[in-house]
Amino acid sequence: MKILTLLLILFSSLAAQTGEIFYKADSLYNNENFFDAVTEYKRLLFFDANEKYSYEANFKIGLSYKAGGYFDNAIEFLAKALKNAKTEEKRYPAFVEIIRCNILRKTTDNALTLLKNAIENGEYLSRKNEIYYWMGWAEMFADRWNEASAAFSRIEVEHPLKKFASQVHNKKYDVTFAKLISYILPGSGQFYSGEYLSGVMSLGWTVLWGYVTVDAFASERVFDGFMVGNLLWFRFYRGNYENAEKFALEKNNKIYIDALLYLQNNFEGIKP
Amino acid sequence: MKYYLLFFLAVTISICAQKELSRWEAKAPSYIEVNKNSGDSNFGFLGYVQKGYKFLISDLDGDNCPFYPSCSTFFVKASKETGIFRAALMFADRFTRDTNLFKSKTAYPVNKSGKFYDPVENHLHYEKYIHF
Amino acid sequence: MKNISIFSLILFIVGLSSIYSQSDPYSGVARFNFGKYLFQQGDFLRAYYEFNYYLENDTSKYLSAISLREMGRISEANDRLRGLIFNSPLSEKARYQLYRNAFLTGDEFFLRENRSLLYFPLEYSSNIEKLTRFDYLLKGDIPFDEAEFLQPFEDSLRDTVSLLFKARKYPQVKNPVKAAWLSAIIPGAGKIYTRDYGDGITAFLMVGLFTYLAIDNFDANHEFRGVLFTGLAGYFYAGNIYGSYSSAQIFNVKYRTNISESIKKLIESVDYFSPGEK
Repeated sequence: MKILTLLLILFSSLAAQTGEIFYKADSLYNNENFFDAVTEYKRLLFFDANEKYSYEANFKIGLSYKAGGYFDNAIEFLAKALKNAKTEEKRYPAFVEIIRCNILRKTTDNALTLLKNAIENGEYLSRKNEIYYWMGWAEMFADRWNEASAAFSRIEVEHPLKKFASQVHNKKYDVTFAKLISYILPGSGQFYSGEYLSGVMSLGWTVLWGYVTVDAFASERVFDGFMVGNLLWFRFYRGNYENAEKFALEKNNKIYIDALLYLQNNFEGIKP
Repeated sequence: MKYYLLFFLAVTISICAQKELSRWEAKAPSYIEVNKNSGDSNFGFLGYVQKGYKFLISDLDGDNCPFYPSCSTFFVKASKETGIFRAALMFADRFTRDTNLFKSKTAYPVNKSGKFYDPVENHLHYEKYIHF
Repeated sequence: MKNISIFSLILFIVGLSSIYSQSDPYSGVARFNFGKYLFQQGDFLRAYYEFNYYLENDTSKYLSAISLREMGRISEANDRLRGLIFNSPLSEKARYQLYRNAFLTGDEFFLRENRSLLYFPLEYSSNIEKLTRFDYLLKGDIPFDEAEFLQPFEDSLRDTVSLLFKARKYPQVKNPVKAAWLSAIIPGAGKIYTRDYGDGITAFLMVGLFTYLAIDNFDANHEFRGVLFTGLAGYFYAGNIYGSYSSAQIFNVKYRTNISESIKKLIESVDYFSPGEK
């Protein structure tokens, strides 16, 4: 009888060991002491012979790494948590955090593949709105604002982020259009994207060398005409549509950066 | 099936998992990487001439130079390093290499923006300065 | 009867408490085991912190030194390793690691000259011989002949090491002065010699074209254009000579860099001839 009680005390103390580590790890995590929390959760995993804490520890390690900006490591441990999750209640948080880490480290294609797979396979049906929400964020980070707007509109028709994404999309310049009008009227593409001086100069040079080339051909100075046409007229004409494309792309990139900065600093909702 | 996908993604990541080299603190995520702009220092009179050339001509006739640094920058930097006559010779050689229509892809290392990397240091006749 | 049962009870309690202390996850031994787990996972920083709690154990000290090395803290690693070279079963391995770290930092004095019994691991002497030879391969000034050089390597590596040895000892380099002279005689010839075939042909064509235009214009009594094209021909001719010299130098640097890359790949593939446990 006494031996039995002593054995009981021994085994419960062994369980108390992992419980002690778990308690320590949790308090470190709650105090935002993430580096040490990772150490303690890893210690918990090592000593947890029954794999009682597999999900919890891996999940918290993932979140801690995410807080420190170590997204690769975070995803590694979140994937392990997902593998150990037995119910949807546990699977879903791990899944969502993997998506958020993918968004933050700009591997948005991974995030979108996972989200679309989830929709196609009918997983997490009760949380469809949240899936679309993160799809929208992934599309925003991927600089695809129209697709982002579409994703948000599936949550509600006038979702605030849907309006924001549409606005950004409308601000953007059409690069193909800029290039096309530059083929027709040199300098117009640069005018379209707001680079007026550059547009005027492009127009000027192209007109000048065009005149010289035509004049040379008209006076039967074919060799001169050919040289000027090729080395000067064509060069400036090509430079004109290359610049049209370049300026449009530069302006679009600035719009993308401004939008992301707004989301980072001014948006009040849930962020990755 | 979904687990295979997830593990494929996780494994390709863990192969290049980030090594922690010291204790770290939590930090707010930054959505934009800030690129440090390596500014060109002032190269004197020749530098101003080059700026004028760029403004009036080079910026408008398209992306013609397959090299980084561009031929005009190459000339200005070279004259800063060695004086104008040697720089002129280096420029003649650079111009010839630019005209070579059959540049093989492996002759020069290619940098991020797709240009061939051909710095001034490689042509100063000091082997120790040559780098790729 | 009563004494025996009390005695056995006391023994049992003592046994239980020793098991209890060993199961304490924050004890030295437990931290050591946890450290090994972290080490295997590649989390060297945390492994190092855990090993630090149990430095009285030699294996723990050794693995903490390896962790430091893996984090790039080589001088700290060496300090720890030196603490193991006397009176430790890991003495030979620790000595080997000091040589490997010397290789990593390029400390050729330690690697080549230091054969004192203080540091040299007799058990792993052939590993050190191989490491030293690789240091010679990287640096380039090899005092051995081929047979001596290849002697410590096993058959599977001999062919590769032999190729690298020959490439280093008898490098197929180009002479810049020769390149310049060749280009002076025939524009572009120096660049063909340095295997810049396209550049050589272009230089020849350019100088040729301007010379032709100069002659053509002089014949047609266009003085100004004749002088202009002569000037351009001379300018590009001089530039081509200058460029051939630098082209030879660039060729040599590329040649040597390619060999260094191959050497580095090979030594990584054999894990620096390590005797196990990194």
